[in-house]
Amino acid sequence: MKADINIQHLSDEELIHRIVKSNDTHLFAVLYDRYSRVVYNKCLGFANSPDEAQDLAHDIFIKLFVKLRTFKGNSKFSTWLYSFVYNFCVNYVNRDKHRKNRSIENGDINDESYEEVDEDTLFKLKSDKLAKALELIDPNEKMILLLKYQDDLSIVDIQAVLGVGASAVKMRLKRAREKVVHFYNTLG
Amino acid sequence: MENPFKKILHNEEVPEILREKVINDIALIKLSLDVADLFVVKCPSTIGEFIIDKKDKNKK
Repeated sequence: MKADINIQHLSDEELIHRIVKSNDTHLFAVLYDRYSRVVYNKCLGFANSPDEAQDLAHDIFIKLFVKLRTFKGNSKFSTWLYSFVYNFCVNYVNRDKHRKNRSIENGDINDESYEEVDEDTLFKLKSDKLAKALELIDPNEKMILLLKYQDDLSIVDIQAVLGVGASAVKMRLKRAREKVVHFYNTLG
Repeated sequence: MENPFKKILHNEEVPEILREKVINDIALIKLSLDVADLFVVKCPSTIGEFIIDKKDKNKK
């Protein structure tokens, strides 16, 4: 009982260190309890139904158990986990043939230049219409927008997540903002 | 100004069944890893040591 209480108070990093060392399912269950809600709700944002989101969250946790040793502690665990979840979801969406065809269609107008969009304009958008516009843009662009404006990650954190420099992050964010507003406006 | 990205964030309860599925599958993976470790690492190492021990005794 006392050991249980101690485990609940472990930091994420210490907990992960112990899971990697022992592959203990009981310890992994503690990590699951801490993050299952976040992961499941992120999956709901990418899946077509709650059942699909459940399968997606299941696969993410299984892969997480296998890949946990690749977490080196260079960033906060939650930041690393967001990146892990988003990458899994983006790959999943890209594998979906129907959506893939749609993103190829969108890719045809990739080189079009869009009107510049600042954050004030972005925050004035209506949430239900924004959700639809996010479905229409490339999943990678959706990911960077969610990292920045939903999860409040800094540019430095996003740099670590995407493995690119600050200027590339800012450029991708700018393009993603412009594109989402473009699709938002086409929704009428 | 309210951030619309926060409003589209889902806030649902995780289905209970998911925990059971995940933990059962993790237990199965752990078992597979342990069995693989036993036959690929521990058994060959024990047999190796046993043979070396026997050779040493024969030399003496």
